[in-house]
Amino acid sequence: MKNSTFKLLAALLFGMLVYTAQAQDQTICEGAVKNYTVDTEAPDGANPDGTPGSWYAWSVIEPAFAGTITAGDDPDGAGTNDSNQATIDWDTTPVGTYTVQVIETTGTCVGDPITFTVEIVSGPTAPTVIADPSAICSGDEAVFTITGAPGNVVTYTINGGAPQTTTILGTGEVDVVIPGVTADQTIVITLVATDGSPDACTTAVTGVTATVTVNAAPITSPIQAL
Amino acid sequence: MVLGVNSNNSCQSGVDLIYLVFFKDILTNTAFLISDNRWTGSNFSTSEGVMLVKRTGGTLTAGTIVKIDINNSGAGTSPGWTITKANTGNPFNLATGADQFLIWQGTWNDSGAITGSFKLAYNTKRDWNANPDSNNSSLPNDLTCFHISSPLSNLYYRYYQGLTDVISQGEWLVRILNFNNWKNDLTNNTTGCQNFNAFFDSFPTNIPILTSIPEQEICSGEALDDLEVVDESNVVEYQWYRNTSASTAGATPVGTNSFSYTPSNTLAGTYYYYCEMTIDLPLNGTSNTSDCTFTSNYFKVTINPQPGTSPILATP
Repeated sequence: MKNSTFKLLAALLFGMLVYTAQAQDQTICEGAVKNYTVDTEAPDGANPDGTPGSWYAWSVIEPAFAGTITAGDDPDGAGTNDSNQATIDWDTTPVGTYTVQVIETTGTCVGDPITFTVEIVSGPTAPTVIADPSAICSGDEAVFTITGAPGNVVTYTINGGAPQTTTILGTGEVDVVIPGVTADQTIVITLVATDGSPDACTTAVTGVTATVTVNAAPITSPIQAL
Repeated sequence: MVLGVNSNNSCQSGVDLIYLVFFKDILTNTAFLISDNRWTGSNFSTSEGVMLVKRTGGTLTAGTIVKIDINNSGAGTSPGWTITKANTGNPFNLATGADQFLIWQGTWNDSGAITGSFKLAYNTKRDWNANPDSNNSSLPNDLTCFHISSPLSNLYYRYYQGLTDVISQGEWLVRILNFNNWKNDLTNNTTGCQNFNAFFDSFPTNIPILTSIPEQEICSGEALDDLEVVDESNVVEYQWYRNTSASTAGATPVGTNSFSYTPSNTLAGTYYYYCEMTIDLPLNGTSNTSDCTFTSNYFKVTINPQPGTSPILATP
């Protein structure tokens, strides 16, 4: 490999690394409440005050930020919201990429801003559901087909019963099968989550429902000899 | 220290004028002796006069210029002082041909023996020698760095005409001991005398002595003002030092060859800088660049470290 080629590849690799470092540090859902800290380990200092003699100014740079920042009091500073720990309630901040910034001050010396990128993503799109078929005979199985984003976890009820969940398959569909039904079956989808993790983004769902009508089996009289 | 001497007052016959300045406050009853007798190296001759100068007024602030008139009958005047003849022989009277006077604090005995310590020597001519006449004197060893001697032949009128901005005591000594800062060429006549008097009529009544420690405090990396001492032609070496306390003990040499020094603006902490100024104070026409070093006041520089903040961590 020529030396110039090696240098070019090295530059590309470095550029990729820089790009990676500049990607978002955290992905959160709309309305999330998250905690952020700096200077919690020696030698910078301990909780809750950070570096001895320092205090901190937290902010979210983008004007679209519509949440609140609660940092608490660092006794080293004159303010009451200047500790090294901040809780940010992102509240109604719209989907987008945001920059959390903290500036440490020691005496009259102001440190360089430290930033942290947060991407706010929206909850999953509400799925659809159909009864397939919409009418069956008593004793047959009722089938509901839910269509949505693969991996989404759908919460539903059947005839107002306890909430149940199911995960949409890679095909974009999943069937809910109720065997041997003798009465109409109605599914109501109440919630959809991006996945099954505790931090998954969720979307409340209303008006997404389907019903399988169960028809009674025909009753035929005994055969009579004429 | 002497700021001016009129050894042949053509404007007021028989009166010698001496302008002095002190670098510390002079309390009431502080006294010193002044003699134009010849110093032999171990004692004075007794053919000339000795005056006792005693502060009778209130405390005199350091830097105040004091004018002393001594007539050739041995009577002296200066507001706030009593000036009396301290010997029984001839009166104090600077010879117009050539003369010297020495100032010391201590005692005088008519045998020429003294006690105490010398403070200052003045010579209307260049050389100090022990020739046994009233126009010469040896220079006490203690005064190798505290003598004002004419660079030329006998000069009747001489005065300091250098800058008068506020500087430290050490810098004032450097300035005053620089003969380039003196008026050395007044003609020995009434006009020369009048010029001498006119100069002091318009000269400040005191020289400002810096006693405080100039301070600078910045955050690491910000701009600092350079530290400066006097830029004088008699200085042969500037040596700057840095210490962690206002002390010369254990100080670190940090820079040479300039009256100014640019301290580090990234060395976090509080440091005290000072400058030792070694001057050339010629003795008998021979350069002396090794004996006389004066020290500036301290300059206090505080560099506060910039905060080093860790990356932001998102916690549950």
